[in-house]
Amino acid sequence: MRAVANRLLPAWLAAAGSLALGLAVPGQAPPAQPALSPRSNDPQLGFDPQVWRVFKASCAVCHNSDGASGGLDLTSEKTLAKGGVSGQLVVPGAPEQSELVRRITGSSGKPVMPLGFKPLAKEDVQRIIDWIKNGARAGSTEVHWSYRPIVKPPVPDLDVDAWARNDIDRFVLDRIRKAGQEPSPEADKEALLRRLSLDLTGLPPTIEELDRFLADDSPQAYDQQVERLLASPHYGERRALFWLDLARYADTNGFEADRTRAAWMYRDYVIRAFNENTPFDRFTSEQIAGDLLPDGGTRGKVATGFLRNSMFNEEGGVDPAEGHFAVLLDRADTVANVWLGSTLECARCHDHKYDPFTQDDYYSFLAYFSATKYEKRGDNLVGQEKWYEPTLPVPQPGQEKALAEAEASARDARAKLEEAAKGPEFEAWAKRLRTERLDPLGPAWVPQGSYWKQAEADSWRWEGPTPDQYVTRLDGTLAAGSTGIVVEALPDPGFKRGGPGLSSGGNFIVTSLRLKVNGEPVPLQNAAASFTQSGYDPSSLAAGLTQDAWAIYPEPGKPHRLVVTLAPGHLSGPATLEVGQESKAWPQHMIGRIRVRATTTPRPHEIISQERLKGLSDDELRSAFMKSGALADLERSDRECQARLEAARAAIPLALVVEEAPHEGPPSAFVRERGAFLDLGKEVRAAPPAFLPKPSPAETESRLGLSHWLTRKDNPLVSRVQVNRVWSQFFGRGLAPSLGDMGTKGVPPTQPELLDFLASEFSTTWDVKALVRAIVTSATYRQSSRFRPELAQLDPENDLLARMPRLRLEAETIHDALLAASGLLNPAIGGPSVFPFQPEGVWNGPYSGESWTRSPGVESYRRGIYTFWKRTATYPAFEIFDAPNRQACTVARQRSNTPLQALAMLNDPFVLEASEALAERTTKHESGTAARFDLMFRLCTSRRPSQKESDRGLALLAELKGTDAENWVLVANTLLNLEETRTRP
Amino acid sequence: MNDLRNLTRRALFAETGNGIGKLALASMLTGIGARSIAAQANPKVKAKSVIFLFMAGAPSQLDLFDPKPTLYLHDGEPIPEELVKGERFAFIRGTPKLLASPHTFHQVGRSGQWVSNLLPHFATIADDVSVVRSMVTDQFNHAPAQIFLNTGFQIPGRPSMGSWLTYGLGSESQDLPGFVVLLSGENDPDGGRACWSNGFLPSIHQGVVMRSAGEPVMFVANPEGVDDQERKATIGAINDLNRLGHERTLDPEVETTIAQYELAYRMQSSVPELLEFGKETPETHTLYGTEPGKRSFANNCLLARRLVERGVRCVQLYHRGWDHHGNADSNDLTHGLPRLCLETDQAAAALVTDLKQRGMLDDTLVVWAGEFGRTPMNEARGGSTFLGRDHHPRAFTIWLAGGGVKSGLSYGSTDELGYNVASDPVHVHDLHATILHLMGIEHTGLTYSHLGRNFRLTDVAGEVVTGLLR
Repeated sequence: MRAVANRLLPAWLAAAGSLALGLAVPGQAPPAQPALSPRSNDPQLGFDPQVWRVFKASCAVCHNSDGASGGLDLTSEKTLAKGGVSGQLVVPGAPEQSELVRRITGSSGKPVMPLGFKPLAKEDVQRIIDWIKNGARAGSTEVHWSYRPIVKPPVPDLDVDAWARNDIDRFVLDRIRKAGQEPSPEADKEALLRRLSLDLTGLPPTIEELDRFLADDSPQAYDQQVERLLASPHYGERRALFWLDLARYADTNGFEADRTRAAWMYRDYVIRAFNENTPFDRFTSEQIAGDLLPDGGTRGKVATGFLRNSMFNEEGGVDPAEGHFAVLLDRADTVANVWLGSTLECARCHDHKYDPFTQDDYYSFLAYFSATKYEKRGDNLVGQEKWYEPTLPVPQPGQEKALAEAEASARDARAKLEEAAKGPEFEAWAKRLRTERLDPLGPAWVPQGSYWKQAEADSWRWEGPTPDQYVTRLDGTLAAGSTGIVVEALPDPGFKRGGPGLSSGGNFIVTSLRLKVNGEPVPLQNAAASFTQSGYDPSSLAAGLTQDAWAIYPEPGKPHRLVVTLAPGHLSGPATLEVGQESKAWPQHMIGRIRVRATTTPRPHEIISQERLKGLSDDELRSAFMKSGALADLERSDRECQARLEAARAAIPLALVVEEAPHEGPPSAFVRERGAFLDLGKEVRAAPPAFLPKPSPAETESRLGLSHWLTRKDNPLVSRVQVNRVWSQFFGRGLAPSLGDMGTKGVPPTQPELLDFLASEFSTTWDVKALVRAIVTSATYRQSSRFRPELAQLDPENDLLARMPRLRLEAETIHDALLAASGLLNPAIGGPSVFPFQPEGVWNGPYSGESWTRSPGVESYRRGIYTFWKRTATYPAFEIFDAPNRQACTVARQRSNTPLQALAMLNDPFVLEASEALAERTTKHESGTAARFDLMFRLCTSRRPSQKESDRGLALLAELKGTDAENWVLVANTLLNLEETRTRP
Repeated sequence: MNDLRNLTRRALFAETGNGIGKLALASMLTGIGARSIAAQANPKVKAKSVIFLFMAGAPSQLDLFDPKPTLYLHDGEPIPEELVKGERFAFIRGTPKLLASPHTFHQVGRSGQWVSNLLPHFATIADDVSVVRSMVTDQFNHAPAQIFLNTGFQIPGRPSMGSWLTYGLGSESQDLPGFVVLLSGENDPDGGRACWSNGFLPSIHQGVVMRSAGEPVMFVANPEGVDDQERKATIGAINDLNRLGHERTLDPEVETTIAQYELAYRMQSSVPELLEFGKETPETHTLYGTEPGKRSFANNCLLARRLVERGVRCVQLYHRGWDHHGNADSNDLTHGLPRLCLETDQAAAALVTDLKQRGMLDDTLVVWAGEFGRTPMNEARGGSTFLGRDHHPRAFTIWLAGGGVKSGLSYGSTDELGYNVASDPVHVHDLHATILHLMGIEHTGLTYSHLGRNFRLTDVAGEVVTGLLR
């Protein structure tokens, strides 16, 4: 058994490519065919690669930036040069004087390194000696490819390039030729239009569009289709699909409660921005700092919804500051992911292990997002405080007018009411209220138990240990004419916060109230309090319920009253009132000083109202009069108009936005040691990662500065990252395959020159449509996707691009393809999210009380992008086809192929509904069996079936035993299930 | 070698009797050649299936399996500085204090395995299991540690153990997925779908989640108005048309699609049959403590037995909730931990007992493990007075039963505080190597070439723990 330490090799060490290759299975021959792209995982940390390998494999387990045994860190050039406790490690040119050599050979007399491991292999020792002899140069100091400035590479000059349609093709063809291969022939026209339509709009072509294209023999036919589709309003929906994954867009807050939020205006902004071909630099500024753009307007504010897409934890007991900090972390991580293609989040706890991001960089980057506004709401004492960020009412078409009308009629009704309230009725009402005396209260009731001590003003004070739960029993007399009982909770300077409750906040909770005369329960008619904490309802006490019913936060230190009204004809005699504090969630919340008296006043509830009205000015009293019920009709009309106005206001959706709080100079943040929220390190100012181009002062001032820095010409990452992403949307894979990591751990680009060429072009215009146009008009893109078995071994990942890949459609696009084929599709664009059919029981939120109710009529046939996205219960048909839950930024979806997908396509009632619609639609259009099958097949796959395919389809029809209509539904179901129906050719 | 190939062939394409199936097989075999499955058919190998009881959230070994008398002597004292110097914890800050278990330990069975009073049912299987008290992992946060214990790597994207197993051995079930995942507990595991991902292996090897409440597999039933005959006819047509399409595209992914439709069809009858719990005897239900229709660990344990009975290669149960930090009574050692034990102890023991009674324990390997251990120190986050322990990767306890593992064995030990492993450390990679070995696969031989190099479950490490083998 090896030593433990041996197993504790950090995983990054074990993952190094060179090491792994060194351990190839014995007897297994290396691949005969050399790999097309040598993918060395070059560490780029400035060492001779071979020496570096030895350090990493044998030394860095102890001598690293975390551990640094003996003060020595062998993971970077800088720390190596520094040496350790024993001083300088290496004397260039003099191995015999170098401590490093003494230690690994044992010539120093000290324990041989690596301590506790086998000594280094002889050849490794020799390699190190040679390296020192040769000057111990740091070796290659080459900068990692993605951090290098983008230099536009020359377009390969090919002898014969008739195949090439644009510069993309020259790079691709050059590469294919160098591998001794040829590109694939052009795809047939049906496949081309299906590919183009799905890639540009996410919808398959209609039969009419297909026929028109097939009939068009002009040389411009294809390019005209490109322009038509680029101009389609569905183009923006298609591009948005990918962007929304990056933006972690969802309709709920996430976490335990996962409540609904109004995020859809941000989604619509993204669709619109792509449709309007908003330049990518502007698109960047709007989303990161739209609130700060001088000409940002409402659109810019809504765009900051990008930042607001962070999850929001409403769970009780969450430290609100930590919850807000988690939101900032998410924003920093997401922006780094989306724009820099970087795993900056690794530097949260420590300097990045592979890329040159330091921990300071992380918090400097985070600082950009730290100066935004929020409002504290909820009671921190009870763990319910949350920090809410701003919302912006964004009236939708028609809503502004409706609001203005509601405002006018509310004003009108109010004016009439006010006019009437100036009359003599008011004077009489006010006079009566001010002069009428309520009947005096009876003697104070006496609590049971020896901890109650008599106190001033006939009250009783608790002078014992505070029980978690307690029922106070008070004895008194109920006369036949008693109309009510007044329970008073009185403050006391001896209590925390002055009481009247005994909790640490001076609060109390009454959970039950029981009145008995001679042991018989007396029903209570009503209970009302002079003040009640929000969320509590004292009237439930009269209903005999036991629940948290009356509490008084945030009004401790003051007297509070509860008036209980009795039903006429109640029992009379010796009575006991039980005031219960039975809350388990809030122990020790009993009333500490209490006074209970019975009353015979005819209207006990007026004790409360009179108390409230005491000391009001005439104007205040007048508004009370307007609500007293004295001016019946006018009052009702006013109330209704106000309610309508409220409804009109409430109907205006609130976009989630970000607003900057005032700050001087660049915003700042604290480094969190080891990423721990509570472990504050030094304070750093907003700045981009230090190894990237230096920011101007303005670029550190705010998020707006950051957005400008990101799209600077000399930023090496942003355009590479974007071009790579856009490319992957058409080819299923990036030119640099690790879409989320352009750093040293990412897979290096398979076509680096092409990537840089496109990135260089893109960064001069930031024109997304131009980039898309270049891609889809290339001969590379127009190749057939027929699989080439002869290339399977040589080029398993299709690095050469010597064919197009076939791509299974994304979850939402499958949904759209079914709707389009069946004719059910409602092509409306934008608006609140919709609820298409979903099986029962998927969404059973325990807290929010919300549920999935299918949208009415055609609203349930909207495109997939509009489906309500619940983070903790993703729409099942989407989840099965690899849609993410959108809890965090998703850079690439999987394309899995499982039996669950087959089951969903076969049995989801939604698919059956589409099958019925498809059958009905084709039956209407074509009466002949073969023609009907032909049309159905085309609607699903965009091509005509072969004779064999047609025969097989009709054989199925013959095999089925139902009615003709039923059988066609199953044929439709079959065709909707074809893998071609859910594949982009 | 041939046996294995046959197994794979049987599993994937048995009785499909179609050209495409054979085509797929041909290409897969070429692939397998390149990928070099070096697993040798070993006559001594008995384990056919694995049931992995994943105790997500990480149970406290110090309160369940690994008694530490020294902790009682020093309860409440600061831990020796040198042990924790430079150590990173998920939540503990400053110098933490040692915490003795609030629970009592005793020895059970003829083997005298140590176990705490929280696991009374474990006593009934103590003589059937090997308890490993010297587990070590690299990760100390839930998601990375769970993904690490499943895939041998902490970042999502590598194939999970179940995927490697079905990739290497195929499935013996023709009508159920070879790799099934069952979820119970307060929520799904932190690592999410990455825990049962096929990674870069063909997607047919992905774990399939069966729900324990409601329709077990979503959309497994025919929709209203479609009967079995019709379904059979349509699937036949779908697959034939996909085959014809394949002649045009030659896309290998189509072969997977066809196999998945066939499997889906068989699942439509096998899944309902699988879930006919009523066919189990009342004694069995009592043994497990099943509660029909509930999302419960007991139901999943019984379901797991029914799955391996039907030839499923790997069943993985997740029960989330073991994260006993002690920042509230719901997740402390005196309320939260006993509740989790109550939810799982009986059914886990019942599973082993039931498999044994049915003579299935020899060819079924059962593994019980969390993603890491817990600290010998009280976490006391924010001054909490509830007892709890932080994440601890340096030492934890798991147990294994059946499938060629020794019975009644206590393997490995920790130091007197339970902080570090003292003897016979078993790293996660070693566990993987051992599980593969028990299934008849030499772990260095099960490789897949991806991005220019060969990958395997055990990465570049792992040694079979021979001390555990019968």
